[in-house]
Amino acid sequence: MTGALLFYLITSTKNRVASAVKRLRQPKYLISAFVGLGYFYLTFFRSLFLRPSARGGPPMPFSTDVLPLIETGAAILLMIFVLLPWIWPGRGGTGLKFTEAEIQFLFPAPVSRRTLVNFRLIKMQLGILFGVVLSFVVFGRGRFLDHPFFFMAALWGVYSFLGFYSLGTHLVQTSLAEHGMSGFKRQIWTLGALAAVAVSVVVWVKRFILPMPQGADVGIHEISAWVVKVTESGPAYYFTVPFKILVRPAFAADPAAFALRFAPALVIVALVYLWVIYTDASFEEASLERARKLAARIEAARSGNWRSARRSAPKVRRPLFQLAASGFGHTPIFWKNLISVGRLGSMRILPALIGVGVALAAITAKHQGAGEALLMIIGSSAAAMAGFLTLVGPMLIRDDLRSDLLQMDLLKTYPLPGWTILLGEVMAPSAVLAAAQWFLLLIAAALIPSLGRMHPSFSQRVLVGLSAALVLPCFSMIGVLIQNAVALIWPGWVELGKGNRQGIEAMGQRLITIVATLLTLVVAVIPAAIIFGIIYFLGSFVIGTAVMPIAALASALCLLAEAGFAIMWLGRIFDTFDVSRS
Amino acid sequence: MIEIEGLTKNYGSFVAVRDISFSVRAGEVMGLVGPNGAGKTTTLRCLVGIIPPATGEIRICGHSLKTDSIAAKQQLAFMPDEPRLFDYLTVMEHLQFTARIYGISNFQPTANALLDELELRDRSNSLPGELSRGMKQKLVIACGLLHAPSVLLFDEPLTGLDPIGIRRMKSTILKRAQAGAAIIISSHLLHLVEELCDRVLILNQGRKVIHGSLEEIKKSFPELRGDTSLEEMFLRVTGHAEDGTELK
Repeated sequence: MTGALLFYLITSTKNRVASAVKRLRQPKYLISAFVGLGYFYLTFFRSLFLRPSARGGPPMPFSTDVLPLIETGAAILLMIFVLLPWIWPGRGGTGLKFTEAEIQFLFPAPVSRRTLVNFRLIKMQLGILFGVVLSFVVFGRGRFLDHPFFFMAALWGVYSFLGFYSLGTHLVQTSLAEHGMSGFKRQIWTLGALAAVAVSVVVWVKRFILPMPQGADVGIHEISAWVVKVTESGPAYYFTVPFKILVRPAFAADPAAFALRFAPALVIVALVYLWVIYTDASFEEASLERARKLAARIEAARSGNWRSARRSAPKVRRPLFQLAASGFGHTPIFWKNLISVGRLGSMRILPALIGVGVALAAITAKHQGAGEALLMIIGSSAAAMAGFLTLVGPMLIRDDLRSDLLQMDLLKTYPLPGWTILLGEVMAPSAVLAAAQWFLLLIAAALIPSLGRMHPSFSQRVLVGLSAALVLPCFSMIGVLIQNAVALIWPGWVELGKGNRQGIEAMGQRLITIVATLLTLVVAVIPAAIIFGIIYFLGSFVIGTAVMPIAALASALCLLAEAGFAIMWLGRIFDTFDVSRS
Repeated sequence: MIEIEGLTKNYGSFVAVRDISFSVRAGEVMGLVGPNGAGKTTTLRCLVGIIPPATGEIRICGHSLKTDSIAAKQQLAFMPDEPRLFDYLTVMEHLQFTARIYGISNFQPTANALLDELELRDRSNSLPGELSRGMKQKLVIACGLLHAPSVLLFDEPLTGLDPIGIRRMKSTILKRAQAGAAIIISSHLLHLVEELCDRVLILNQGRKVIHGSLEEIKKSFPELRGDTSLEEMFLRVTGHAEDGTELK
């Protein structure tokens, strides 16, 4: 039976790689793969192939002063990961994941429970090994370590421990729940035990260890020594030692030290493995439910509905406006997409970003101790956010043809001309972006009392704000149109369609699309910028800076005219769009 | 109502549908049958304007789908085998949206009647994610029937429906035909086609093999018995023996 499972694992992996390679026969995937690989090389791997001098100097291993602190910190972090599922229900292990096909073939087959668990653990190892390589590449590529191999081996140990532990925890929690011990009861026990541990550590430190050194002359060396002293003695030692054993091999000085440190780490991993294997808890039902959800997500992603694949179910909220029984043809599409923005939460990121901005402003202002600084920071953050939304917003809010192209069968049956559908499609993201930009510009115009050496008057701020309020939404609309044009003309290059979202080439595709979008945006904006420049230059001789909103209005009209032509053109493409060829 | 003349559709060098001509009159139900890959779905998708034909002319209620597509589509309803719905619109919002697209000013009474007929009334505020497959199928049908189309095209209309739903669906189809709609049903369920359809068009490898009423088709096989079923005729015209094996 093990042979059959190994055959399945090896053949699946081989076929997956083969199909990815086969896809490279298509030029768009090949070019994208080159771009993706180039990006990876320049970002992560380049330094591996360069001489130390070329990559910014020789390796800089952690100093021996800091190492104990890093070890202790990593051990405490690991301990938090271990405790988390018991403190915070729902953050527990992910359980045994099987695909629907695996469940269909393996669960009714004469395969022992232990074989199934082992099969799952072997599959997990593939992910762990990939994670180890990725972590090594991303985090320093050995620059801060004398022996990168020791680091990788220790990472494998830590990841395996966490993976096995996660499964074991899930099985035990499932078993406890079946025996009537709820998540709340578990929490009480865990929190009680943790409180006892914390009290014992505090008492120990108070009685036997000096207080933490403080003062201007205290450096990292003193603090490191104190932390190590706390964790190397008394109850804290016993609570952290298993985790320290797991992380210590990463910092071994030589092979002999590594062997001495890695052996006990392996014992811990083996113990957790045995715990998982011998845990007598049923997993079949939970695996079935998980597989069903996973299959639904995969199906959604394969049919191109990547948003449903990623997100939780939308909630019913009232539409922003009631759809009248009659009117323009584009209005129902606009109405539908506005509902989509509201229910699928494309703009959830905005309050979060504003929240972060305000928090940063508050922190900075606290240090500067000036109310004006707070206003300036909030105002300039809002202005920066408005600019950010103008450029990036069209890529973030995708409640337009990029989503609806998946419903092309339906759209094509509507008795509406293509340009009407296009107009309706681009209106929702444009309107949402415009509302967000106006809100942010209002904050910026009201709150920015000064910008560096500039101290604009209220009327100047109003002029600039009004001009930006006229131009930025049109600019965004052009951006949204470009995104929709790409989706309509080259649907294979946007995140639609079957299984084209993974791998190096998918990353390359995204990079190419972003660069092409920005270039097109620049070209589209040139006429409007020229008009703005001419009117502003000539008008400023007559009425001064008051001409700015007039120049902005003229360039906004230019952008709208461009948008109009683009909508008519794309409408014709939509009318002749052949779903079967895309 | 539906007139097709010389319809051909190819995907690169592969010809999915080759030079098909037929018509469906008002009040007539035509069954479109054929083995997998025969070109049934391609034909239906060309008929509703989802994919453009390579050559040929399609007229819906006298309107050319090529030159007067808006007027033609106004008379059409297509019910695909796989229900495609907007994830974020509720059942009633789907109907509201469809009503506006087709310019139905007072849609509410019709929508309520359809929801009652299809047993969806109590789910009118549910999102598609909360509906079973059969319910989604019913919602697609409700949206399709909302604008009282003159031409109805069904692709496997019984998929996912429970026995009561199947009975209601059959009754709905016949009711629309009696009201004067031209209907095409594409299905592998030959007993359904036999029960509901006045005429049958059998496709095989993109070609029209036979077209006519069941009686006419039977007459073209004089060696068959009088009570021969559509299934037996289907096997015969597609070159299969009674046990389903392919005849050389």
